[in-house]
Amino acid sequence: MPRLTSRQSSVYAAIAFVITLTFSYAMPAYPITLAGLLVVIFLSLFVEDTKSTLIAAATSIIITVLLFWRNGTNFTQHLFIIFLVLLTAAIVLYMKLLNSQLNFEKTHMTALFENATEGIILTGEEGNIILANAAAEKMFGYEERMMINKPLEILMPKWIRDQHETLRNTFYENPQHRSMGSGRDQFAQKKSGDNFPVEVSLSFYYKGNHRYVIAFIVDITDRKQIEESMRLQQQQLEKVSNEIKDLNAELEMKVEERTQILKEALQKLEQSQQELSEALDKERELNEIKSRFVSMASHEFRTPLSAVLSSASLLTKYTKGEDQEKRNKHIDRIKGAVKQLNEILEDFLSLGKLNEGKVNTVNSPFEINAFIEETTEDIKGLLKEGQRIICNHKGEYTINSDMKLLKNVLLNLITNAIKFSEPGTSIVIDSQVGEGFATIKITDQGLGISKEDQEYLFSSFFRGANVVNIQGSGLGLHIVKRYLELMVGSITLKSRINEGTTFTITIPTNLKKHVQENISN
Amino acid sequence: MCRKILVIEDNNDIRENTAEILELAGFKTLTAKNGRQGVEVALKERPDVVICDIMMPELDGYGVLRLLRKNPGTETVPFIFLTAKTERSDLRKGMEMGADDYITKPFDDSELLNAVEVRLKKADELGQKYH
Repeated sequence: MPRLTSRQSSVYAAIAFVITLTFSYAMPAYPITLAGLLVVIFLSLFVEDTKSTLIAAATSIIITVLLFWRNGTNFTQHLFIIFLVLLTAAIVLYMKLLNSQLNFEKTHMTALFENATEGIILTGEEGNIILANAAAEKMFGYEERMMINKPLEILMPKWIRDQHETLRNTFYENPQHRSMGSGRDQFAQKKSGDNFPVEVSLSFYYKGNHRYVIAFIVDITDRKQIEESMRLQQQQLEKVSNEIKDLNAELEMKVEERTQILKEALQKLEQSQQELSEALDKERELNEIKSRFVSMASHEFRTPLSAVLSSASLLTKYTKGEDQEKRNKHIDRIKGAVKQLNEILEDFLSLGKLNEGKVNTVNSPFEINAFIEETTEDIKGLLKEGQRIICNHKGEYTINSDMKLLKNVLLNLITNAIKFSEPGTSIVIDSQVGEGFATIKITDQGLGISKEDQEYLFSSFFRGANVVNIQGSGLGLHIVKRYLELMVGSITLKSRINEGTTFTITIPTNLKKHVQENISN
Repeated sequence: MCRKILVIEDNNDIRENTAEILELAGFKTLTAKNGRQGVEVALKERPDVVICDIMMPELDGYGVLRLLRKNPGTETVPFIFLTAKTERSDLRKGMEMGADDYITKPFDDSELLNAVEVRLKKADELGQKYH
């Protein structure tokens, strides 16, 4: 319904005044004045400001006073008119106040609706669009009011449309407010057919029996893009992080590899250091052997040589026939000295062969007890006055070993026993063949070997401190030990100074078998 | 006057041969088969010359020399080492301890006799000077 403008209402008010005045003046019999004035005041309703009403009311009161002044009668009647005019003006003013308040709210509500940046769409029961704000129109690309009365489905992409009806019906059956963001993101369709992502919140209200649904729609294209780019970034980040992880793993592997290499290098270094230190030890040992050899050679070679030389000198002095006995004595001395020298030489040769690895074992079966007795028989010539050798045997007789090496070992040990014992003492040889091993014990009642010397006894050129004056190369026991090593045997000793010594040798009963087992193990 | 010479040597052959060489040259000999025995004989018999090995059981040649030099009765007795120790350091050690001569094995009989005679002559000269 069209409203009156303030100008129109002013004109109507002026006309109403004129008519009222004219009729009141022309026909005083008719009480028209009051009605006319009230109409004028009511007309001021259409003018927004309060001024117009106040002017109308004031003018009405002035007219009433002027009429009373001209007629001069009916004071009460005129006073009543003034009262009614004032009352009406008050009513009109109050209505204006109400109206202005109402207008204020309506303006703001409209502004809220029209200026909202979110799209707002109101639909009725049938799913038709009743209202859509400018933002919604812009969002969906429709011109002003073009969406009104269209079905809501036009705003949806094809693949949602069919199921939307069902969805809408379920919503109507059990309507619930659904706030923004609580539902899943949806797609909407523009008029042009383009799809874009939206976020929709729904609320509803009833007016009478009709239910209305308000949808707030936000275009989340930008947000989606940001989300997408964030997702991409995240993916990229993940990729980078994975790459870093891979790189890290690779690096770690490399580090491990390098560490391993380093470790190996270190090990090699250690090994070479050890080898070096071993070589140094060997060198030192060799040097010591050399110096011991020099000292030994000095004494052990020079002493028999002195005997030879001095006896030879003396031989020249005994020229007479009756000196034959003396000559024989010196010839014997020379022979003895040469024999000693020969023994030392033999020891040297044995050691040389051992060091060159030229000594090989020859495995053959023999009866050990008979073998020992045979050996002692060979050596009996060396026995000092009153010395004797006692042989005892226990267990089996036949063993398989190297006869030549064993003989050397026994000769060396028995010779030592004779050499380092006083005349009249006994030398006991106990042999025994047991499970897999044979042992031979050689016990004398001789000088004995001190604890300190026992430690070095089997090294080359070593001689006990208490036997420096007794001839010997310092090689015998060393050679014994080396021979026994070749025979996979071992040697131990027990000794007390001035009480005697027991050497115990242990060898496998079957050398060949033992060696083979050792190799296969 | 018959001179007394003490031979201290652990090896029987060498000891006997040395003594024999000296006896054939007209000296009276005393023998001892180790250092301890040698010192005992020297102190008792007051030999004119001592011929002594170094490597011996009981007491070695250096020990014998030290003991004889300490004892007033034997402090000036001519002392000759007869040894298989041929290192220069061994020789220096012996000489520095106060030995009069150092003969290495194997030795020639003339070498030994010369050394003994030189020592005796020297001792005689010294004796004449002081008496």
